[in-house]
Amino acid sequence: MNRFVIPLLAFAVVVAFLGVGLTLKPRELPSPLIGQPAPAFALPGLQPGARFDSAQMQGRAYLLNVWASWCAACLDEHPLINQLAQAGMRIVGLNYKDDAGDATAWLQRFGNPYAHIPVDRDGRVGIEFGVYGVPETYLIDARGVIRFKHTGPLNAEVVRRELLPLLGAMRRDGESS
Amino acid sequence: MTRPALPALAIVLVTVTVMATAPGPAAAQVEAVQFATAQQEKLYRDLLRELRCLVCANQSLSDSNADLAGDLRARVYEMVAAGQSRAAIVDYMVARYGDYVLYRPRLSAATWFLWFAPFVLAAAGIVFVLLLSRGRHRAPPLTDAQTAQARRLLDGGGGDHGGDGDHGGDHGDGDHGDLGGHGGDGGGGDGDRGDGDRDRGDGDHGDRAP
Repeated sequence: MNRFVIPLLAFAVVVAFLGVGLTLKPRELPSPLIGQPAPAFALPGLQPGARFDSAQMQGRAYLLNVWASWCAACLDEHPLINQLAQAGMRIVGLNYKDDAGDATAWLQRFGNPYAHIPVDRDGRVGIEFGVYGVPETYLIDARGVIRFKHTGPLNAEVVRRELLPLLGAMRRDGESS
Repeated sequence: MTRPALPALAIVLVTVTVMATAPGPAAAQVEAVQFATAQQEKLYRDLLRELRCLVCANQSLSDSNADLAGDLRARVYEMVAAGQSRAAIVDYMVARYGDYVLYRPRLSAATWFLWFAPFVLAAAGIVFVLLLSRGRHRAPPLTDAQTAQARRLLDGGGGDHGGDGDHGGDHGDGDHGDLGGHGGDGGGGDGDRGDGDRDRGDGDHGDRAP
């Protein structure tokens, strides 16, 4: 009986490690940017002649949603983004490495929830934000600090469990959203 | 059993070392770039090997054909060409993508286990093997009286079938001699135990023979 104890313990340890490993989501990297000031950037907008400067967003919290018309997962989350916009959330849609024509057609077809649409054609601003895939969504507070990041399509669960409580806390702290 | 364990351990260690130093998969088509100095060129190549492609997880920037990897290569190129230091470029990447972007994670509270676990595990393994082998050595050898008793019992068991039994015995003795030769440097304990096993084997052989 005794000689089974050590292999059994070793097995239990391996199972424990693998079990924890299974629950990790390697795609959801913790962003080092949370709690840091959002990178400042200025880009042309999607509408001809439009420009966007991140400085103009100071003073109110907003969502920065990184999206592209070629991104299937963006379509998955789009109804939720539309809903958030209708509920009064200010959303900036960073159009990531996209074709302007495709992007415009996509928004016409699926709805445009964005207050501003800066166009990041070469992905340069994406790198500043540590974007490694689309969609990604950042919550930036009134002082311009990144408070929350979600990688991959946003879903109702994440909005309920993480985003809304955070917005509530920010409002209680005297920040308007 | 203990002696084969050491060569096996050596083979494992050598294999692991070879695997760790073997070159990775062939590099992807990396854009042709030009630098003012050879140092910059070298820094660029080094950084591409050390920075991870985030979309493809297990490739470095120089291995990956992914779009983002190309963008990050371009960014590294600009920073190197602008004369930025290695530390500045690595910090830039870590500030945006976290430690994950580094193939050689920094030593921190979160990564010390990652860094030292292999050594701890290897040490534990060696200790385990040593304990195991000492345990084997300490197995109590049969006394002469016990050996004699075992031989008497076994001879008695095979005795009914005279010819077969003898045959088994002879066969066993030959092997026994060989084993004894091997066991010589291993001390009396091994040799004695070998006798016991071998004799018991003969007995089985004899019983089964009819």
